[in-house]
Amino acid sequence: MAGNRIVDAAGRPFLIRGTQLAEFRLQTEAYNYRSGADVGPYSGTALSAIRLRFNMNAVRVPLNVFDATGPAYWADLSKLVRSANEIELLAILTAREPGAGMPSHKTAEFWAHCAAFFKDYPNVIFDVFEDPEPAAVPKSAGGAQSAAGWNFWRHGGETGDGREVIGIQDLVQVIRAAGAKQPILAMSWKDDRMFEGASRTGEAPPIADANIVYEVSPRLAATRTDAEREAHFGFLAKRAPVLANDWGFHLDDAAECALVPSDPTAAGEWVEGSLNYFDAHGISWLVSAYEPGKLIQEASLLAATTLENGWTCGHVSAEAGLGRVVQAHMRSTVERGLFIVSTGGGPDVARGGYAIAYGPVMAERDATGKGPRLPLTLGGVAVQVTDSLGATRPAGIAWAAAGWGQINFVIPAESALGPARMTIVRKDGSRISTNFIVTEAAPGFFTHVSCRGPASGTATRVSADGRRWQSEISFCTPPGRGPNASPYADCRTIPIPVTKGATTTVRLRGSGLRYAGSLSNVEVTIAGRRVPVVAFGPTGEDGVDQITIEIPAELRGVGEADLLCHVNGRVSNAVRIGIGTGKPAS
Amino acid sequence: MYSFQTARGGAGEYRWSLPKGFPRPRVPSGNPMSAAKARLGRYLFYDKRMSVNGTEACASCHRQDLAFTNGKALPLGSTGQAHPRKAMSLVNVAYSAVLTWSNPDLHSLEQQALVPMFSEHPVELGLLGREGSLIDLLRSDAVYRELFPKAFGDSKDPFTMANLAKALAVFERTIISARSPYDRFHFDGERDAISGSAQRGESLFFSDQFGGCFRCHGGFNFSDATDYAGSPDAAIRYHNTGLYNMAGKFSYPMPNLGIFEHTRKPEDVGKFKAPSLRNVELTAPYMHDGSIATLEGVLDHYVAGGRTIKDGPYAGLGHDNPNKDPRITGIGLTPQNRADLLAFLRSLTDTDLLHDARFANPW
Repeated sequence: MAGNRIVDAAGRPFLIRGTQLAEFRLQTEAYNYRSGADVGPYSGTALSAIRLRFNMNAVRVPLNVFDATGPAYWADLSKLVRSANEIELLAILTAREPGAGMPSHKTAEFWAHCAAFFKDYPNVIFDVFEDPEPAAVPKSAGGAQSAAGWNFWRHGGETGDGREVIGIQDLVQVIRAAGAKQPILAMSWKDDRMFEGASRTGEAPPIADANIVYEVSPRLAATRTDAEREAHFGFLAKRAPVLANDWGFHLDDAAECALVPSDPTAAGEWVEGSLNYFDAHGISWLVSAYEPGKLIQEASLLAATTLENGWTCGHVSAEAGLGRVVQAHMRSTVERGLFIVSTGGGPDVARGGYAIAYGPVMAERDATGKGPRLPLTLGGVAVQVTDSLGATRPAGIAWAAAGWGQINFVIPAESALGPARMTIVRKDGSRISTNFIVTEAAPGFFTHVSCRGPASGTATRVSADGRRWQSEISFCTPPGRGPNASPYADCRTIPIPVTKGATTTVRLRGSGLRYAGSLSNVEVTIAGRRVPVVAFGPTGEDGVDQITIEIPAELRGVGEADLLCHVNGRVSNAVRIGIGTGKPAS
Repeated sequence: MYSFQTARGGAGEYRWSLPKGFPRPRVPSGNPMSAAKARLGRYLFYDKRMSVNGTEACASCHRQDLAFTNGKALPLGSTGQAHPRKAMSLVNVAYSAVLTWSNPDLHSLEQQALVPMFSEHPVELGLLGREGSLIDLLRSDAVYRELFPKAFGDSKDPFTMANLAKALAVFERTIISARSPYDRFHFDGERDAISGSAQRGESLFFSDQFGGCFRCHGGFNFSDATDYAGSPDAAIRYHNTGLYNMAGKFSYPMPNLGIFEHTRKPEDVGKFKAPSLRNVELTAPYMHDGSIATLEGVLDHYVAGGRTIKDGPYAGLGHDNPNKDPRITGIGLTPQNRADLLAFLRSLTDTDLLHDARFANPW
């Protein structure tokens, strides 16, 4: 920490901007990693979407202190933490003690173990206790926001109903005693006044530790204006880092929903206003939550929720939410405008690589560009890319949608790095633009469906005597027909045979790789383990690259796993790959 | 008011000055545009002497205040006979690739202008057999004695039925609606020209997951039967929207069988042109036979993927009409979506057009 700012390892100011995952449970984790499901809350696909599609940098993982009972729990939790960290997401581990109101010795025991376990994970933050209850403060203390109330928050004591509890400061000391030096989140009282009264101007922040982020959960009911934000937590942000957690609409809560403007545009502006306040005051935030009906509509399609279609207060709807407003904010665009992603789904796009722009494309008709050299006009629209030096070049187009849809195009290879502008120019002279960043490399893998799920590519096995076998690494069954059929192809991995005495390589198709530089810049992992990169480069088709990796023998039989690529600090989408033993399936 | 065209006097070169987003209309070589023709056409368009009994003019079924429709499901001719189909709007008719609801052979406004004058089934203006007296009347009128020679000064005798039709066609081509709030938002960068609700409605209208309205009502003229100078010769599509599904030989009620009346192909029963949605707020009642009274009702029809008529002679499940356009399967709309789509459709209303003196009754 540096004053009221979180700073990164290089000393640069850093804002946590992320979301919360579903509470971690062993069986959930097992479902995601052992049953082949690739879209669950802890899957690489989900983490990849949070990192790239939402451009976030953190995930909060609630942990029930009563669940942490054995080595399997910690081992599996550490896998999730490593997966998040690998995809450049901070992992915020949060202790929940359901029904406690204030922490008991059980939470202290949890932190003694958890902090010791993760003390060497630099990209982990500890969130010591979720939702301290002001009702736990003895009546004699004069209320939660009184000096005595805040002392109770810090050090615990005997609750109004006679239980002995410990305080937030005590938990911080438990963590430090375990040798962990990472930042710690300390949550305010779970009421609408949050940190009000916790410290006056000029006083030190309430916790005695140099590495504390103060956490609040502003609810719409009580914190709607900048003045209210200032009174409840903004004042503290001038002296210490503050994070707004569980922030967002709770449309399923009828009382809170009633306060949300019923007009979607006005509701969106409220969301944007809050985000702008956080940005202006250097306040980190975690929006609630990466689950259907909150940030996303549905786990497998990764579509963000929207306010556009309206909502019914108190009614749980998977579609309604602030996901698209948040997504637009994180891409510095507008919700109903045009925004660009790379093949991997991130906001930065490589020169010479594919980009996908979503929004009002409004081509004359749906049109596909054919041939290794893509057309510069398709369906009556053209794309121009203006680079950071002001040079404007036409881009080859692979797909242009009529109406509101997507346009797939290739960033001209000559584009200068840095901030750029993309413009769709329609035949009628109208145009629409958006900003993005041109990078040297932004790896992304193609799959059969929206760059998620099983990777597409070819495996080659060469035996010691030189015999070769080739096979596809995934297959799809076409979308079904009929009213209840899924409109999407069902794609599965095909186990890549890895046998003793043979060399197995896999050639994957992707984009954003060709200017990665040397082989040493390109890092590929499968199930978190680095694998050798044999070659990478263009295929000869505009925008399409390939990368060849070797499957090491130690991965034999690992089954279905996530495959990721890092190039110069940029991470790809997580795709699935299956690795077998070379034995026929029984 | 946006000046979208200027013209030089006489029969000289006509210069279109169209707003952004609007291509140049295709004009037949045999009837080039001129201000003089347009002026003559305007007088003729509003002249009730153009009907057998002096009761009706073209403008009777094409009222400026209703975006050149007449607000009736089945308009009446000058002798009181009902027309079987609703009067189509003449707004932007210059861009119509094909004319009327369901005649795939009628492409020329010059040709079409004669239809209401001389049709017998039903009688519209009732002029069949009275061509000579009509021409005599025009010759005798001081206004026309000035306008016809100016418009057709090259003709030996400017007073002909062919020239009359040409003048009407030229006037109709000038009726261009291009400055609705949506146009100002889309082409002129007026960010407040349409509401947030209309903007949301726009994205719904142009999205396949909400029915893909734009697939039939797309492009600058919101119709897939659009033509302009230099446009590709795309096949004109007609659509059965599942408005009816009657038992019996024909699933649609006589005499409105769609382009089947011309092609005689069973699969063409119930197929009609997708009209432009410009000014659609003003063109009620809707559909080819005016059988849906309100825009909300039209939305209900498409939401259901076809109309259900429970009893009476037209009873049937339009949803199950075998000729129905496969795109019309029903749309899942929230109340907010409905409101937004309606706001968008209403943003296509060009109120300037309704008061534009260039198209008003000159008499």
